[in-house]
Amino acid sequence: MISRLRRVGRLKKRVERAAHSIEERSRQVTRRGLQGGLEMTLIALARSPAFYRLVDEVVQYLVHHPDVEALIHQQTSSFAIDAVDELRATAARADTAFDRMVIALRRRVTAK
Amino acid sequence: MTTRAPFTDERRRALEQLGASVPLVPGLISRWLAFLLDIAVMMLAAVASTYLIEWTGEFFRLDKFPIGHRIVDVTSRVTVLLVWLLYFPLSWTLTGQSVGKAILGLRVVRSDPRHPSETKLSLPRCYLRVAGYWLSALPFGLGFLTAVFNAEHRTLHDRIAGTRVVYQPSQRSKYRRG
Repeated sequence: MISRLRRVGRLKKRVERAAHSIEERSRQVTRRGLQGGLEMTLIALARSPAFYRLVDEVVQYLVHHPDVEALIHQQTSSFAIDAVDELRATAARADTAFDRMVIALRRRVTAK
Repeated sequence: MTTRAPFTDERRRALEQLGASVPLVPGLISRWLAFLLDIAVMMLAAVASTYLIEWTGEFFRLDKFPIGHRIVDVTSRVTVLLVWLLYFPLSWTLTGQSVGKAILGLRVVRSDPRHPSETKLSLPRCYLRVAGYWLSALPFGLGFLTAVFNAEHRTLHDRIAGTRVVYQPSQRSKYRRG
């Protein structure tokens, strides 16, 4: 009975090892296949004049599309306006702190 | 459409809390920052114009002529001098704002009690103000510090030229989204 259990245990380990090995191998094959496919696709795209024409067309479309232009303009100006507003607000806060300090100093001098 | 600049609201509230007779005018730090920005702009303009003149000289191969180098050198110096001589007076007289003041939302206006509605600065007055800068700076910058002891934060050059610096009303609403 004990010897049979040992045999079953050994067999189970072998099966598990084999399963791991198959899994690892299939993963490697898939990765290699995907990499190869991707490389082939990229090479084919790089050689294809149609692809460059398409990219040119997309870029031209984006450059000349009024919505895209407006969006870029809006984002840029909005960012600049926010930065200027923040600078002004910080400077105004610093002014107030400085004024507060001067007023306190003056009051102290007057009190003495 | 002009409205009050939103960033001044916080300052106005703070000054009211202080309970002092401090009018809503820009303080020394805003003005100092604006001045630093203006100096940076002038330096950039001077450097850019010098490079431009040098490139032009190279393009036309002026170094082949006996006085070519001299021409480029003199032109560069004159341009830098013009930048320093014209930047402040022209920007103040045209818009009341230099680049630094525009960024900080400040404006130089005429401060004449006899003509309170006239805020535009004449060119001679602007030159007087620029000269006042040097006078303010000369006694260890004490002329600038006079703004601390003055409710309207007027410096020596402001008093000399009869000007004051105020917050520029906001004209932002038309550029804002939404």
